[in-house]
Amino acid sequence: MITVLFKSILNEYVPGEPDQVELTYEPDLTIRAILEQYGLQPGHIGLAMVDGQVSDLDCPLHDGVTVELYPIFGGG
Amino acid sequence: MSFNGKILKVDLTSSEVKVEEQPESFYRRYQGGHGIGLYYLLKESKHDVDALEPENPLIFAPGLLTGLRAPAVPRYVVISKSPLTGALGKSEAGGYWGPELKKAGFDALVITGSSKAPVYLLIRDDKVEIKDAGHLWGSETGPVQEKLREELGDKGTQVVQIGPAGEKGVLYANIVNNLAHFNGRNGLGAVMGSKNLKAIAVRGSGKLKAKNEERLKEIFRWTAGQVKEHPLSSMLHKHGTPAGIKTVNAQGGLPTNNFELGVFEGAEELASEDYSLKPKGCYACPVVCKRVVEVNEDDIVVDKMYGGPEYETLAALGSNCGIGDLKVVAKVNEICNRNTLDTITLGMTISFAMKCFEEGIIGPDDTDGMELKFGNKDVLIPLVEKIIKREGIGDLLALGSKKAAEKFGPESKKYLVESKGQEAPMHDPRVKTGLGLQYALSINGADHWFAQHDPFFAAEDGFGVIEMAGLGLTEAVDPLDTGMAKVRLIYYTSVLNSVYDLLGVCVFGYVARSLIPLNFLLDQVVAATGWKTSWFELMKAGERAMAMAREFNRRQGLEQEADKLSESFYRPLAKGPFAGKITLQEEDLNDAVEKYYALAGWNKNGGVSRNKLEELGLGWLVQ
Repeated sequence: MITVLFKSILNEYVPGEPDQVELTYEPDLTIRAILEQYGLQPGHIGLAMVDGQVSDLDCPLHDGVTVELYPIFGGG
Repeated sequence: MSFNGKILKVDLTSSEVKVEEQPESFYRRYQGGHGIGLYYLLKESKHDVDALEPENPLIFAPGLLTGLRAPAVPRYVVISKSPLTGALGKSEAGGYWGPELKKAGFDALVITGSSKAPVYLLIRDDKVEIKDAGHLWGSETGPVQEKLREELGDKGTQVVQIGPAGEKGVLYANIVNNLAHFNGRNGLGAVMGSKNLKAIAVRGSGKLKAKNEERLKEIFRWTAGQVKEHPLSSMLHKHGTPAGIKTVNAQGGLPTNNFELGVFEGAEELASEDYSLKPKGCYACPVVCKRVVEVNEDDIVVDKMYGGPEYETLAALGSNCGIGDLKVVAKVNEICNRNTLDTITLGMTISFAMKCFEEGIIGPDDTDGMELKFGNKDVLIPLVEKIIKREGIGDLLALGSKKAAEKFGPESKKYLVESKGQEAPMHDPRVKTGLGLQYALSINGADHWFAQHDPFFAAEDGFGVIEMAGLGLTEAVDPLDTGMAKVRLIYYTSVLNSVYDLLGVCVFGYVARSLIPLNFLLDQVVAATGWKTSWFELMKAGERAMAMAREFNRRQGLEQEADKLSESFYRPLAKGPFAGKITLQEEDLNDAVEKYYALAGWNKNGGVSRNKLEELGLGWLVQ
């Protein structure tokens, strides 16, 4: 199982409540593939973390990890 | 055309009002905004004038496209010498005033001299009057706007003004139009106050007519249709800039406790939308990114008339002072807006004083007995009121952190976070090094919109790389890189942002931060003017304005030594993903600054070379 947290305003891309989804583990699953599944472009993402560590979008995910996704931001 | 061919000049010492006509070739060369503003600043100012002397000109200049029914081009610049930094003062604002000045028939307003008694300017089309403002002096911005509109019998009058902080000469007082749109930085409200000029009320009955109105309408319709679909503009539209707090906090770059920590435990509350009533926007802008905030509780009331805190304010007065109480931050934002104070420099000056207090460099005897500790929300409102009134410790802190450090002593200077004497905005160069280059190179002191921001260019499928490939930025650049790839990114996009400022563009409407693409912007310039122009010509105009700005600073004695960062930025962050790691080295940053000079055609001292000035048609600046 992989837990994905859609943080801040990315929760608008998750149908219903809450902003957390559980995905069945599949070998070679990446954050990029999860984004595609939820209609998000890579450019949406300002920060992706796997178990609290900064991650790139193409790194294969292990079973049991928690993915946190934050929207991009720059220039307030 | 999108311009009127007329510049209004007012001398407050002699009460003389003149209109100077300019040919089309002037606009093709200097466009609008800071291009026109710098032209007049360089022509009219003496080399060694003090910023608060009558001889320092104060110039208001809308962008080339401002005033047209075109999307997200509402901006005008205020240009002068900054009393905070002694360098160029340049600050942009949106809202409604810039378009109104264009409709009144003027492309810029150049104010010189100083009135003996408080006055305001009234511009109704070509009728210009200098009027007594004795009854307005000392009043806050809300009542002044209401009184002026009532006196003039016209609710559509657009008022740009200063509040009591500008009258009192707080060196980071700003200028506001429509109560919530600020020329926020560089202390230009103090310059306006030094001239005894309380407000400028404008009403125009004209209409700018583009050469190709249909093309402008097409782009407007496209923008309005896409705002809620595009990921970046929809975020701005639905949530405004405060939504950025959570991302920046997770990245470990949220300025906390005077830029020491990078992560703030109260970030969730600061990002809350609990008190946000509705979005509010600027002239002809479908993005509508600003928030209106109202608090009606027993302990705190925040008046919705003054807008609401943006990301910069939430971080500067919130996390950076260790304060996570959103109601208190919203209240201080309202107080600042009523009195016209730059919330960034204010927050940074307070956080600097808090750090000095915690380190024992200053004590209660220096602070009128106030415990200036991070997180002490009880001191925030009384301290800000003292600064506005320039009472006690407030009189010193009204000068900004760098001048306060002179009084606090040499030990305090290592806690400054500034460049050219202006306090850093709420973006940490230790998590995105491009901001370090921006702060060092920005001609008007640390500025977060000198160029575009690193995160948009961090991946090849990021919005920045996709949208700006046409400028030659086709590759991803690591946010922590300081090599030539980063220098090129900052150089190209600093010229682009200069073009944006010439045209009156808001960065929250256009790429890479938002949705409107570069080819549509070029189309709008062609549609507005009928010129057979190109991005090459626009980028040269951007370079030209930057060269003029750089030349102004050279005349003030500022060269390479001014393009430095405070040592605080070279110490590691204490919390978050980058805790304990040195991610920005002084030697690398200084090397990157020199590379930037080389790309820009500037000499090793950071001055613009004679050849570059002549190439840009600025031979008149060659001594």
